[in-house]
Amino acid sequence: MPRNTSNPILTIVLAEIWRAIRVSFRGFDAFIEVVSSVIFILGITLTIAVQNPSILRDPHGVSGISWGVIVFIMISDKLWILGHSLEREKRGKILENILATNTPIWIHILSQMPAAMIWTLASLAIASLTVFPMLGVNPVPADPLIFIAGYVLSETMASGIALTYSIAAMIMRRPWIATNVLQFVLPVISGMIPYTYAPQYLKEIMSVNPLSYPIEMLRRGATGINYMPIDPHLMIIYSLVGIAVIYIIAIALTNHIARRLRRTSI
Amino acid sequence: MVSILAVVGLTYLFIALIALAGLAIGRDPSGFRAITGYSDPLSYQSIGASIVVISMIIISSMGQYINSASISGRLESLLAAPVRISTVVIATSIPMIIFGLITFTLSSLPIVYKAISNYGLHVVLIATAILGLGMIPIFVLGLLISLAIAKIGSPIALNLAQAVIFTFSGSLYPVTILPEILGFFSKSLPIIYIADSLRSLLITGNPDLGGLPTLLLITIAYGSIGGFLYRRFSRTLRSGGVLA
Repeated sequence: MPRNTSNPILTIVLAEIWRAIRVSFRGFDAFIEVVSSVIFILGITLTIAVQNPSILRDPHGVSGISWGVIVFIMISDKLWILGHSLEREKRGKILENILATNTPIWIHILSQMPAAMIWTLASLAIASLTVFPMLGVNPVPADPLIFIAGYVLSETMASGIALTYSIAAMIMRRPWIATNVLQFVLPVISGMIPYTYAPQYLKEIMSVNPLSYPIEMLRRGATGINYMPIDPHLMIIYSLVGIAVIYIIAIALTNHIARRLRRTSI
Repeated sequence: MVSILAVVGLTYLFIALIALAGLAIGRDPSGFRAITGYSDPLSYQSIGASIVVISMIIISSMGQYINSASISGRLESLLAAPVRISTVVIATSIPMIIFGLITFTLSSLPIVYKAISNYGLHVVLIATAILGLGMIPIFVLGLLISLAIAKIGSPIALNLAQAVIFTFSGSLYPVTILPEILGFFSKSLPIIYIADSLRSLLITGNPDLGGLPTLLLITIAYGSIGGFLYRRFSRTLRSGGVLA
């Protein structure tokens, strides 16, 4: 339970995170969401792999795709959780009240993320015990340090994407269109398909897309295979720069939208 | 109209991304043929993706409708109104079925066009009839999930339903690649029979209707279970309100 601190921003952050965790873990929601994500991991991996059935017999091939699907789930979880919660807040006029309190809207939005991260982590844990053995994938990371760093950076990146998406969720009448476009397109151009398998034009997009690097790091840590031809130090630098840029843009845009919504209402 | 176009656009986007992933990993037509009986994964998965999307949309629309109706109190007014609930359900299902047929036709337009050119219009008409019939159990499934949503008071069950349809419907890959117990579960869903019949008709022009009797049985079974649970649920609602 958060207490008042001497720093008002910290007090708001702690209160918001606590609120989001309480809301997200109420009732059956968390359990159902986690189970759904695990089922999706199996379905999406098979949908891709079945086009070349020999991949299903190659543990490295399935492993590369499965970890890409995990990233898809990371992004998708956050977009849907945020989308649903903003939709609920819009409908219940809660968002208008939050805007009226002058709470920085990006803090309110990002406060959903720790809860979403717990959901994704639980999905990953269950998938490791159920789906991965079914697909013949070894769930034990080849390089735990790189894996953890890649996981944390990928999660941070997914939260940044969700923060950017929140603009669509706040102003669009049908935010599910933006949710679907982002959840499919972004993972594909950021390395859902391993770099070595990707066609040349996708390789070029992935090389200039800073969002690809956290995913490469996660996959490299999990499988021990270097997919993108890049030095680990540069990979970390590119990941951090990419994440910083996405957060700066997203915070600036959400603040701008919040100012506009305060004037014109939702 | 915007919703139909958005759904069609998203279906094409989804199919394009699956195809892109397939190109990336290198398609293997002979391997694919060995497990599915079809050599082109693109047309196989296009038909499957359209059916998956339609099923998801029907189930989500119904779930969201019941959820918002129970939150706003409209559900109680509906139950108190002097209208037979079965009339309301049938009246709701007809536009849904029309929506599904339009969406399927638009999202599978290249395949439908090719089927008409190669095998004639009758093949598409039979496919439409099978899809229309197949949407009845999907609608009943949506109704059952909507009841569950109203009972637990959260639309999150829709995510689970969508995940189950995506993974276990046998639309995007054959259920034979799933472990046996999961494959058995897939066969209790109506979607696999719709997808198999439509693929057989539209890709090969062969009206292989072997799955049709099972689809009819499933329609009757789903209808009976749905009707029984719905009557129980509406009685509970009438006597104790939405929160009972």
